[in-house]
Amino acid sequence: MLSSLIGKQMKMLLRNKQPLIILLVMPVVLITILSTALASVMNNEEEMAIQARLVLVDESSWEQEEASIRSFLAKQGLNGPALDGVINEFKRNDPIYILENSILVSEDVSNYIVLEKKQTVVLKEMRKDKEIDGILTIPSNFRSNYIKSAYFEDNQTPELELLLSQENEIRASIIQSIIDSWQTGYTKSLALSKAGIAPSVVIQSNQAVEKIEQVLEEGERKIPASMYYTVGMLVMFALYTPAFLSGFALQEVQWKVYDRLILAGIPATLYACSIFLTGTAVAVIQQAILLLFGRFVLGIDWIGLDAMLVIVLSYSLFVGGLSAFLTTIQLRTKSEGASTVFTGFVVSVFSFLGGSFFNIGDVSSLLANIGNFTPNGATMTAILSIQKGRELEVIWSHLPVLYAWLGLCVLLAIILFPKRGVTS
Amino acid sequence: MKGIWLARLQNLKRKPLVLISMTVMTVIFAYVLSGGVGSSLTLLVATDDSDMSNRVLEILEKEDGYTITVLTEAELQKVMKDKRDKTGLLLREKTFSVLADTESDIVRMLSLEIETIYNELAFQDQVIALGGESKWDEVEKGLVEAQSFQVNKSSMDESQVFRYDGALQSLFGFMLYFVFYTISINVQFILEDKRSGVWNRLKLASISRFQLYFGHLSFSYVIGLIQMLLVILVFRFLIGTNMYEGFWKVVIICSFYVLLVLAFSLFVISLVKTVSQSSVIISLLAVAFAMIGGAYWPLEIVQSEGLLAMKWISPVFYGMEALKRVTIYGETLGGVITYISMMILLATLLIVIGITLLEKRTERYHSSE
Repeated sequence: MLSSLIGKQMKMLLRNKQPLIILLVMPVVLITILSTALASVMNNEEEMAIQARLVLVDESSWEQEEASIRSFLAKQGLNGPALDGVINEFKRNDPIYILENSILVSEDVSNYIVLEKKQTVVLKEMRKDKEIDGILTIPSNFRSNYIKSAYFEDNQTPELELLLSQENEIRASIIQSIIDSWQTGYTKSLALSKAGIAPSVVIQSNQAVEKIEQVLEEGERKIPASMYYTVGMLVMFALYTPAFLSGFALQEVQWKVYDRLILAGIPATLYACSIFLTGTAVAVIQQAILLLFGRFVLGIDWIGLDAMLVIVLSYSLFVGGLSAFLTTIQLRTKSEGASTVFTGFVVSVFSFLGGSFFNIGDVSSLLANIGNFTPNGATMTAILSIQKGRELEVIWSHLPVLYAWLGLCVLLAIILFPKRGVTS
Repeated sequence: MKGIWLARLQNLKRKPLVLISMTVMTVIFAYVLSGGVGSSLTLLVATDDSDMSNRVLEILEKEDGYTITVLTEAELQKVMKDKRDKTGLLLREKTFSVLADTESDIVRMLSLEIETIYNELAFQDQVIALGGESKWDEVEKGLVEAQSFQVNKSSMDESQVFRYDGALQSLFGFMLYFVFYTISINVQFILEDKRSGVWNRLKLASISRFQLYFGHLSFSYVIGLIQMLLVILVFRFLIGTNMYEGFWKVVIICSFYVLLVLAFSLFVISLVKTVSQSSVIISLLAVAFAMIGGAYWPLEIVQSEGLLAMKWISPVFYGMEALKRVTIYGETLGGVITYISMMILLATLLIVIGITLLEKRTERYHSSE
């Protein structure tokens, strides 16, 4: 009897194309989208791909300004070979020269910034160009002003104009940080020389720290984006199964199929049990398909299969319990309200907190802690812990959460399930 | 018309639970989230007790944006092993490591910041070694007071203010994402009415089709707008979000967004049979739209061209862009007219298609019954 009831539920799921699309096709599509879209963010391999385009508008050049600098220095009382020596020194330390020929061409920086040099431009036109991420304009008398303020007590600070596009904040921020560090470097050496220390002594030996990549223990591994999102979508989409099953149950009540079942002598409890078991079975099948998709299409190597089996089965049992509970509520209230609130809100909030969309611990550890108490969040954490290559015991701390939810759902379903039949 | 409004009001009065619970949940969640977004990142820090690492820790503790728990190295390794979503930091005299399971933007920003702190401290040490404490005071003063030259930053787009506000971006993202569901429920009555036969009876009654649809949709629109306003008001006045004097512009843009979401839900409803189907599909669409529309993360980080092109079908994208521009970048409503007109255009298109489909299907149902 039970098996034919389960068979009936399965047939209803299979004959409606929508459940199949949502339970299987949607997660597959989303996993693919997410793992390709965010791969570079999480996997840290394609950093090269972000390249910012900086246009340097230099309204003059060292050659053009040299004459005025020369006459300024002459007024300060320098002449002959001393003057030439000073000029050469200034030329070598010219900020623009250093920026162009040393900073922006260095390997670290040129990977991120493409430089384009222009002498005169129609700025108004260029500001509208969506391809450009930043424009640095150097006024025509910048070099001589800089020399006056840096080496002679001229209190006027020279100014530069940096225009940044807000269309792409990441690229703009790359430019901004390079220009900022360029400026800070000059400010530092200025402060040093004003204090009577030769800047070259300090700045050359200024490699203070080394970043050591996180050392992974033997057998441990990092979680790639594809694995993260396969698990995220897996736990999220399993939550849609109860909505469909309870929707069908309500339909059966409306179509008087339920009354006929009761008339045929099938106990209401058996009906509830069949929904529980169907929910569990569907969740197992669904998760198995998604894990296989990950294995064969995305090439994810799932490890710790025994622990995975435990966790997937436990989660499926929870999904079954939730199906029974949601059906109970729907039959009690005789409306689809519960299912609407559930699919519309509970699923998204839970998935959000559980980390299905992105690693919520990055945003707030409070929300992440709450997330670990949602059934999907606990499952996701457990699966990811196993996949990291840790000992299997780690899952035990997450299973109680799952079984507490399962117990709650089953208990409520038992208490609330309408035993005397439902009329629409 | 008036009759339809009265009927809907009565209905609402009798079954207010779903509507109320959805609205309350949206508002609560918006509130919780706004606390989470932009709040500080919890860092678990272990040092090797060297002078340098302790000074780095000291500076980090003063910094806003981090809540710091100090552990020993062994404790840190153990916590990192057990917990998935923690960020750990191991400071040594000459090296440091950031411990995290996934490599995210935040982790990268953090390592840059740590590196800067180390370098600054090393710079300070060198100056002190060369010239003593008094020299350092002098240099420090020079660093603050005498800039070598000044870089004035402004936005390339002349109509924009140069500003970055990541918190507001995620706030808008989640707001638009959550109200997507809340608003779409208001359209599901059509499916209920169809099932109970009320819809056909209304059609037989002596009101024009226009009045029938307009009456229903305008009522749904008003309810949706009220829900949206509630959320905005909570943000603006309860949480005190800084909208950079763009409050009214936000309200206006949101009123078009409500229309677009309404149109989308009408379209979805014209394709499905039952309420539970429509809510499942709408919740999925909301997630997908939020992802491709840039509600969860800024679109810049997406590198797949195909995925980027898909943003044009997402209502969330239009809402996000328009809202960001009028608040963070201080543009006028005229500046975002493209996005607003696209929202209106899409809404009109979807309403027309939706109603046409509904009409066709009703006829078919009618003849088969």
